[in-house]
Amino acid sequence: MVENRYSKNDRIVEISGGRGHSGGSAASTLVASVQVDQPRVRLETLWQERVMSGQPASGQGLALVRHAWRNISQSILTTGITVLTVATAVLLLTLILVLLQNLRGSLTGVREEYLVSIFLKESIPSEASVGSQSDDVQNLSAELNAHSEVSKVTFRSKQQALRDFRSQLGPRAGLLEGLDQKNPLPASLEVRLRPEMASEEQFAKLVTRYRGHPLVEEVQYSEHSLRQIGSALRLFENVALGLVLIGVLSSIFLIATTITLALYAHREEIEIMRLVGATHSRIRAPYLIEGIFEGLLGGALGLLCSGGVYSGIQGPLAQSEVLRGVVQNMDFIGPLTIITILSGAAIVGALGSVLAVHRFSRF
Amino acid sequence: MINLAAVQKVYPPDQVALRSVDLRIGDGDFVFVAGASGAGKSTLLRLLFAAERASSGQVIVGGRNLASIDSNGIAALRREIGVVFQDFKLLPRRSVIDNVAFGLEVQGVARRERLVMARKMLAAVGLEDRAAALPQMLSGGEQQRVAIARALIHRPKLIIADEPTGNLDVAMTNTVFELLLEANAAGVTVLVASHNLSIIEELNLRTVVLDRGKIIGDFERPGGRE
Repeated sequence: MVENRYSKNDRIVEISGGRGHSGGSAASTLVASVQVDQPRVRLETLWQERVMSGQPASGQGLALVRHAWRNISQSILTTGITVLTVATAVLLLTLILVLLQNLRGSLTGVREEYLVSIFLKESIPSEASVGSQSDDVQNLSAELNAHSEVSKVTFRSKQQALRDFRSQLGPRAGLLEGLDQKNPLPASLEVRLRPEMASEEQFAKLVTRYRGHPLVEEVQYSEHSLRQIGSALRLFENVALGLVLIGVLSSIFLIATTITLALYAHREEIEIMRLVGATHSRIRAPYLIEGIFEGLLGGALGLLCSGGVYSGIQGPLAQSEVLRGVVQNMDFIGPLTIITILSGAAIVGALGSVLAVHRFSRF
Repeated sequence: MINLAAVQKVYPPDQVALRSVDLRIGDGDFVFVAGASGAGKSTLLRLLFAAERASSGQVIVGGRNLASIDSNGIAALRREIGVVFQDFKLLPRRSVIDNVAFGLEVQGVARRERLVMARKMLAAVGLEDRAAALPQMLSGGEQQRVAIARALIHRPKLIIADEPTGNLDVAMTNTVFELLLEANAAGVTVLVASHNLSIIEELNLRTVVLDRGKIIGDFERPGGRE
């Protein structure tokens, strides 16, 4: 058993050996001059107190967050640059989403105006004079209505067609004088598609199906305009996707670089953590938290900036003659999209961190 | 506690650090590993806390076969061991008390409790008043006492100390050994690599002598006294 003897002033300590070799007695005498002011706490007492306290191991989560925060505060500059990069990517993404969302909305409105006009043959009886439909036409109308993509089928009699034409001509309607007796305009079925399904393909499908129908003279729709709108939207979506991909990849790369720098700056600490028995996950967790934090902070900052940009440009755009129709009802992204963007930013941060830790652990 | 059988360690391409080492150390023993520089002392110690793997032979520490241990097993082993180095290996950006508490931090002990324990541990090594200082503000002896406090705070079953007094003067050397002996008296197995023959002779405890990777002597009482 160790026996220490302290003299109050000179702090002479005399130790009579340890337990030493099993079965051995006190080994030898070691005399040391120790710079202590009070008799020190005995190790045995200390360890017993720890056992007596019986407090369960806890606070690991908070310790990891504190550890991550310490890392961040030690590299404010690189963290700041990373957060700004993520914020820029999110700003870009959000503005693109706002534009896409509103452009899609506007195009849907435009598409709603598009109809497939199925012109009926002159030989179809009964409708010419009274404006009512024959059984055949009613059957065709019912058949069209049965298609899931069709929202409404309206019968337009020859007389109605003439009336519509007159109203289109306005003051020059006199040109149509005398046509009441011999109306050359055909009766038609006007088919309106559901806005969400009103794609170029759906229109084309409908046209192909009914072009050879025995009751049908001709099927028409504004193929060219629809194709142009569809192509423009697709081009915009592809460019937007490319820009977003570049933003996401550069964010991951930059977060990975920041975390790698942090890992190298703390490699001594990591080595010591390993030596005192920290598990891999305990060592990696603060860096994962750091990456997620940088992603989230960048995401939040980017969203705030995009909100600012949105408010700033909405007024001037609404004044624009060209864009008035599109911008008048321009909405910002909804809460679900905001949550998705923030989650995405956190995932980007986590991915950057995982990449950095993976790269670091190879060395 | 420790059982080494026919342990061989070869560093590429063909530098043999340990040759056919057989060694048994029981629970609660205090053992010196002595030998000149390059004799294999540090390699032997590093095998025991799985910082290195043996090229061949069997290394068992605390009932764990280190040949087949995975990373979680290594972490669990090290949580039962306290390691003390000649160069202290303290965290330069953490205060003295945080360095001492670090051993408990990785074990998930709540901050409040680990700081209370660390403060008491600092009192035990006579550094209570340096709790807030950074390691570089301390003398070598004080830094080593901090390192020992960190190694002891979680009541390890085994202390491995690699030249713990290599950079210290006589007074500090004695202080360090006082702490190691006290831990040993409380039942902790202590293994110390040292080329300080005077302290080995002074303490007169079991000493294993290595030379060019081979154990050439295992002395119960190198000082000759009982």
